[in-house]
Amino acid sequence: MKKSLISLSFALLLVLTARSLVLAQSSTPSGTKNEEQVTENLKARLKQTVGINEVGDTSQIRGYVGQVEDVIKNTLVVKDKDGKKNVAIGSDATIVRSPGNADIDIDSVRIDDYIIAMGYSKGDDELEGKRVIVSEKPFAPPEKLAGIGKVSSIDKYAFMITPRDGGDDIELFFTKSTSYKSSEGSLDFKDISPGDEVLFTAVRDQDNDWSATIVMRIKQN
Amino acid sequence: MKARKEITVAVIIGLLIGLVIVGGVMRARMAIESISSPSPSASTSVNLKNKTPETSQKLFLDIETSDNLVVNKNTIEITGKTLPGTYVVILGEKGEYIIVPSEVGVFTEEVALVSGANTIKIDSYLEDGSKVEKVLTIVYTTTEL
Repeated sequence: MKKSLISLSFALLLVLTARSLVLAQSSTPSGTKNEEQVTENLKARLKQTVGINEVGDTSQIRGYVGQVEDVIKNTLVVKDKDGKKNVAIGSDATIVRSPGNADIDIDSVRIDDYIIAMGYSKGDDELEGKRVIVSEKPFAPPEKLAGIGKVSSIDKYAFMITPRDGGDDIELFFTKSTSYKSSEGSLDFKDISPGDEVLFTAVRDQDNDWSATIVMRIKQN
Repeated sequence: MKARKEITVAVIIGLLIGLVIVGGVMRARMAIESISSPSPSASTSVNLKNKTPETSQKLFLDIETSDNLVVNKNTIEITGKTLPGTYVVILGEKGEYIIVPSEVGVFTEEVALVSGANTIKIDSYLEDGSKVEKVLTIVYTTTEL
């Protein structure tokens, strides 16, 4: 009887081991594994990048760019692209007015001033300000444009593009620095013809025209 | 009588072991079949080779690089994921970039920064002109905080 019990236990052990082995093998299909791998690689790469780039130690250092909505005691209420942010100004914080970078105190910050606030994140939408730059003029990015469209005509100076989204035609002036490419590699200006579909980027130039910076042919006529 | 009991137990144990082996072989077969059959990601890459985006999937754009970062280097690596077969356009303060994401829709680009505030627009385009857009704010300073 003792022998039988030992044999039975052995058999059960075999069942459990075989089952767990089979389950372990079948629970990770290759597709999921690949996606997880990609995500993990991305995360690792991001961590590496952030570690190299951030100032000092500081996963917590953040910067808000916006406009002053209010000044309440030692706190600046800033409106940025995502909404309202509070920037607490401590005694060790530096506030400078641009241009000139003259040191000022919080009383000299005016409502509607434009601001770059840098400091330690104190949770969502709140910053312990360490360095604040204020200016009467906005820190506006240069005007740029991108889109997909069909080249309707080409003259000596510009392409006429009919956007795919149905907007008005865009005149894109080409310059010496305009680059031409396709998904296979770089192209020459001569490779672009009327009827081609292109993805383009452009910047507003001094004459208020759009200067093409990159023209990528995505479909040949 | 005792010998009969032992025979019965031995038969039961034998049956159990047999069942385990058969079950194990069947499970292993199924697992091998599922690995060798084409997975969803494999079909995506076939589509990509033909430059046809999977229009049945909704266009999306996930940016891995954090927003509102303060950096002390004049470039930043923008990393993200979008629908395979699309085009990614990055409009930075100092330059413009057009990228073709990888077969799984992953992209990364070193973007030049200007001193101070940088607004970086990232768009993912389908060939029909529709797009999704994300905007990052990055501050570049060499001043010690």
